Amino acid sequence: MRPSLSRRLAVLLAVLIPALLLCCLAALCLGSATLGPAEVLRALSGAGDPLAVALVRSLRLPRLLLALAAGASLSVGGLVFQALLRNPLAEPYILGVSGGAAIGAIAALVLGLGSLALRLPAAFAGGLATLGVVLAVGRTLRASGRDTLLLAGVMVNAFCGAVILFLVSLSPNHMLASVVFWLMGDLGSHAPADALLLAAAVLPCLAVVLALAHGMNVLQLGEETAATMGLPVGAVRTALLWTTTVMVSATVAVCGPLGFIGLVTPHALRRVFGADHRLLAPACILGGGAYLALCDALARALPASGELPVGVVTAMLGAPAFVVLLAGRRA
Amino acid sequence: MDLRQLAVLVLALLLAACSADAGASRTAAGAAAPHRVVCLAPSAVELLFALDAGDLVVGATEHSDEPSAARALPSIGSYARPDLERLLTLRPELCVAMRDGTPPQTLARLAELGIPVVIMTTGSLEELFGSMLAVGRAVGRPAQAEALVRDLRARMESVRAQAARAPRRPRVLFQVNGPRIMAAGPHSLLGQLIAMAGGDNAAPAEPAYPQLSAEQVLALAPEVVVAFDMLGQDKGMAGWPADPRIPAVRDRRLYTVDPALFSRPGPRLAAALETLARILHPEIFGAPRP
Repeated sequence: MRPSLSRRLAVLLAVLIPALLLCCLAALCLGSATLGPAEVLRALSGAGDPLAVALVRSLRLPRLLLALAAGASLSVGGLVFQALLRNPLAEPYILGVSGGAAIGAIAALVLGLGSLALRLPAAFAGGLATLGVVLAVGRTLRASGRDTLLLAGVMVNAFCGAVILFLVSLSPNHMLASVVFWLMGDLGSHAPADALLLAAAVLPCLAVVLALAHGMNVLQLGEETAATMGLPVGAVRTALLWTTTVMVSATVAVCGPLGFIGLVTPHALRRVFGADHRLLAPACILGGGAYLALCDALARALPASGELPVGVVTAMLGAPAFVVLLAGRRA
Repeated sequence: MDLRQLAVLVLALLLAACSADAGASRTAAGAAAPHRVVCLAPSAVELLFALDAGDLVVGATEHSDEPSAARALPSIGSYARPDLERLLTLRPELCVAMRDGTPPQTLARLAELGIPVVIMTTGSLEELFGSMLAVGRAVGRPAQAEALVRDLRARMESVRAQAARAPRRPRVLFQVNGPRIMAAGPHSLLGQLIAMAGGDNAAPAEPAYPQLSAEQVLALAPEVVVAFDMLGQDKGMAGWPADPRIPAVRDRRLYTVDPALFSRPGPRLAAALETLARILHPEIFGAPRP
């Protein structure tokens, strides 16, 4: 007999929370100047070398918070899209939602609306619009199979890429470097206030997804079956799609379009913890945050001078993972 | 405790720690001259060395290769994306940054970290001279800065006065970026140099650095083309429209110059002007040096 849900949840938390804390510690230790764990803990409390305190509390901690919020949001975003579309390869980045949000955010940047408060709604509008287009194209071409939606996403994504390049070519010279780094996915140059704003936007969305996790399970049985089981299918779908688009767009507006996190984390965690969304949703929150925090630490620690944009690291790890998943699925 | 509460708790702790540090790391920005300066552009490094303050510089962005003593400085990453961690590790008491180059986010973070910053504006010669004096005051070398500015003004005025006697002013296109041709417009700092060196800027007035197609170049009919030697190779003009209808192509008046000399608004700007004047008016200033 399978252990009860609460028991499995307890096991999951017992595994993932220490893993998350370890990743957080590693993220605070690694960087251009590597600090020991004891030094980091001392610096966190504000004691010890003022340089270590400044590095840990002023630079690495806001960045860690940003990575946790963005990683959780993109992983849960992937999980929700995979559940709603019942397609294991669905993900905000591949479906073009990230690309649409990026168009919105970059248009706001080029128009000189640099502040995050203005970039967020623009990104959301862009993300929502692309999602609408992908779903409409997918519905129209439904007959040709389930991969249609992915293909529609790929095409919409390619179109978004073209629009982004157009907007980049319009951006004034002095902004070009920051726009390009943002496009690569960057956690490096944000004010603590940005991290707090993103966390504040993502947290309620994560709560909504956790509350609807059971609904995602029921949806896996097919929409008609779900409806006969008493699930308000339309309302749950809409709530999940909107919530996910809000948090993914907010993440893109701050960190740029970070690829493949929504694919790698849910799949890896599904292998370990099974297909129950009541477990997978919390697992994605903790695991996604930990994964991005670790990627960002690598992006900071690997290069001899300067640092890599974290999007380079996530895409280099994520794209091969996508191919492996695709191959496994065809076999 | 269920997961939601736990997640909220963990994040709340992080938020608390995050917001508590606003100002914890403030360094005293007293009136005393700083002993540790980080330069966020190669031109700032040149300036500090020219002000006899090279020994104060403890770090700089990449490509800070002039004077040669600067090559040993620890790098803090690129001009367009300085690495804040490395910068902080050098414990700077002052940073010298560029209004049109240092990323605004970096300036904002430096302000939050309480590190004093002098921001140089270099849109015109007057702005540059003002910035040089401001840097001189900030690093405790006001007299050296005044002497430097006086010297630069005198050398540049001498070039301007000689060039003004030239019988005619050639139409000049100064290419600053490639392979798509981007030129220095009349309202840029380089545009000012072109005018002082006795040239007529062929590029359109707006924006400061207009992007030009090959057709536009043909229509602008420059008589002299000066381009940054982008890749450090002798024939930097390989991508140039080899159209003999362009007077500069027909008369073989295509020149490449060292971008480090011309793109860094710093103490070598008078030398840059003298180089340009030789290119435009060899009959007055002598043939351009290779």
